[in-house]
Amino acid sequence: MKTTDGRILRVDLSTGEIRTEPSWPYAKRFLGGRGVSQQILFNELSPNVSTLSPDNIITFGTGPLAGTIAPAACRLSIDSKNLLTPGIGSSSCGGNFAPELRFAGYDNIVVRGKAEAPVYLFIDDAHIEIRNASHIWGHTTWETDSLIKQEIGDNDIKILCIGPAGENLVRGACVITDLEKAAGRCGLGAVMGSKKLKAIAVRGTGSIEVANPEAFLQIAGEILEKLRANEFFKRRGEVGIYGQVQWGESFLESPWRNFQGGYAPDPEQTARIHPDAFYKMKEKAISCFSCPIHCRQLHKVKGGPYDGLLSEGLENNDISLFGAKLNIFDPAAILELRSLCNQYGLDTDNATGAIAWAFECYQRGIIDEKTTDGLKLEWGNHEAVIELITKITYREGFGNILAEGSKKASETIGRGSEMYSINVKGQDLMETIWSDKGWALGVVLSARGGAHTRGAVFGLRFAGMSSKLSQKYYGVPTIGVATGYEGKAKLVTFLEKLEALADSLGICGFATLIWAPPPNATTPQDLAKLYSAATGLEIGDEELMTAGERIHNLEKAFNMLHAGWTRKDDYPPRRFVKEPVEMPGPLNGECLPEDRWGKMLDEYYDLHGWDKKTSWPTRETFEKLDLGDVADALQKAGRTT
Amino acid sequence: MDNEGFVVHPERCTGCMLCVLACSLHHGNRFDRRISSVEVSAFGKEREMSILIHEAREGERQACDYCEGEKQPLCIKYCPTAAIVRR
Repeated sequence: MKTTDGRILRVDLSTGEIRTEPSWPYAKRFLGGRGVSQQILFNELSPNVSTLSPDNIITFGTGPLAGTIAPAACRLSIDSKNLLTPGIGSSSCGGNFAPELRFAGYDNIVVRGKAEAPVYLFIDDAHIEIRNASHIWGHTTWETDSLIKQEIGDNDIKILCIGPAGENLVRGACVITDLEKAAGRCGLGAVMGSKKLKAIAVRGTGSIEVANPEAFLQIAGEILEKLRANEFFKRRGEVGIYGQVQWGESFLESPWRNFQGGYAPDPEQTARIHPDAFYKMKEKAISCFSCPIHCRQLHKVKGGPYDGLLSEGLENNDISLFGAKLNIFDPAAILELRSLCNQYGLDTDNATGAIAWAFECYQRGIIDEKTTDGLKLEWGNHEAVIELITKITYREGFGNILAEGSKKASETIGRGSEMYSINVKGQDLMETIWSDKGWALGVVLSARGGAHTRGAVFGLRFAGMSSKLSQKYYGVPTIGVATGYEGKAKLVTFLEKLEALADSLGICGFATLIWAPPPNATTPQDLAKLYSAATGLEIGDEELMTAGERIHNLEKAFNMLHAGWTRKDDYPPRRFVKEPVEMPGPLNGECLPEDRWGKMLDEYYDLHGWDKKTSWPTRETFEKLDLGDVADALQKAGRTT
Repeated sequence: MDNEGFVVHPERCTGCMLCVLACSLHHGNRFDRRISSVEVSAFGKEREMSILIHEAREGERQACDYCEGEKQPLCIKYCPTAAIVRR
């Protein structure tokens, strides 16, 4: 098919109705992937539809570059109403599912309704089938992957599925593809579970034609050369996604004991979870589709209780969360915990949020063994963490409380435990946000609730970048001055657009300026050249970034309609405001004072054209972004500034 | 495993498919795994890779022509890990 000839596959699991429509009428304004999915959700979901209702919609979308040789064109965005917040739910994953979907001829899948009994969707090019999954229900994600491949008789088929956590409607349930690639946040696995949708299997044997193949290959080749020359990517490709981790006093990246500090104070403990400890277990590097970076390493545990465990794609999050947050300083145990979460289909960020909250409550005597089913929640007790992960997945005993996420769990337990639920808008945080102001702003203002892949800038990683380089690529001179406030609001608005753009085109943010230092990273100019060569439309980077801004504002509109959040919801959790870090080092005393945060918010709202009192976009802003119809819908619902 | 003109190292392959995509563009001006002379597959949790370079046409699959008209075979040019190299 031509790049612009993809279709949207619509499936109603209540009625069994299957139909398709062209995606281009949507993609003209919202590009593809996340953008198109968000348009469908805004237009078709009423605010009174609850997340687990059959009337809710879940979408699986990829963009116009997926399936091509554009570097890292592998992303699938999964979007629905959030299960941890009342707003938008959105999470993405890499791997091979998105390109396969495009080879089958589809850009987006839109699922609504609820099957009477467990099913999986089989997409075999134009042949679409809703198949019985009763015999697969209850199985882990790894077993599911294998069972469906055996049933269809094709080892190369691409599977996206949920595990028992999604089936049991755990709020932190994720969606897994290619065994260990997760769309983690927002409880989207439980949305699939609520629809009795165990999996989607896709086999695509078609082709993708770009409008100008010669130019496309030339541009893609130039970007590939850049990425291969970047030392940041070389380290990632050799050591892993966690290759740049530098746990310690200069970073405060580790949510020590549920954010009671920013790093492990004992250097010996830090050394035990240094990247080198995991590198020793590396078997080989693995790539997502069309990605030259190959940042996903396959580790094998040799010896000890987890001997023989194979685990792919260890991330910073895993080391930070199981290591510093829960005080487990055994690399093999961290791999086991990560692997267990992936098999259960449980998001590590959300699961450890609830578990760390419980450990802190236990530390402070708010709960004891009578509440925890006899478990001693002493920091570092990794057997207890394993047991809690299983209890959460199957909603057993205390796990049933934790399965609701720390916010709701704390409301159930009460007794002051609410103070130790570190969440933003209901979604547990994995990020430390005391010191890095651009990181903090992006995490707190993320439309999907607390999370960092929506505009947060990793300033501490860019520390020392020259003001000239920063200005040239990010539009502000201060990306390398992490603790400062200057320019951070503008920086976040820039990255919000670029994140929306990457997610909507099907490109992995890791390959772009969002995560990697310039000049050798994919830029908005590169994306515009690729998009133009793929579609035959001459579109510049500014126009494309405006589309990113349009998508960001559409998500804001969804939240206005469904969640009703206003300015007061845009402040960080109390711990980062009132409890400055008290740990030796250059970042000692860092925090986010309310008055200074308020000034940054004012600047941010101004840059977006959003009202400072309500935080809502003005009608003029919507119209400027070609979202007049969205402004009309909001006006009809009484949500206007 | 050796092919005339190429040596392939499946143990270095990460499964990115860039070689397959570049090859299909060369043969058919489109991204189409069926027509590519390079066939890459992954197996099991160990992610064992296989790389086959087809030197004879089989149905839609095109025979490798060593990228006639290019400075070097595109599969070699685009492979990030030297899993396909010249003999």
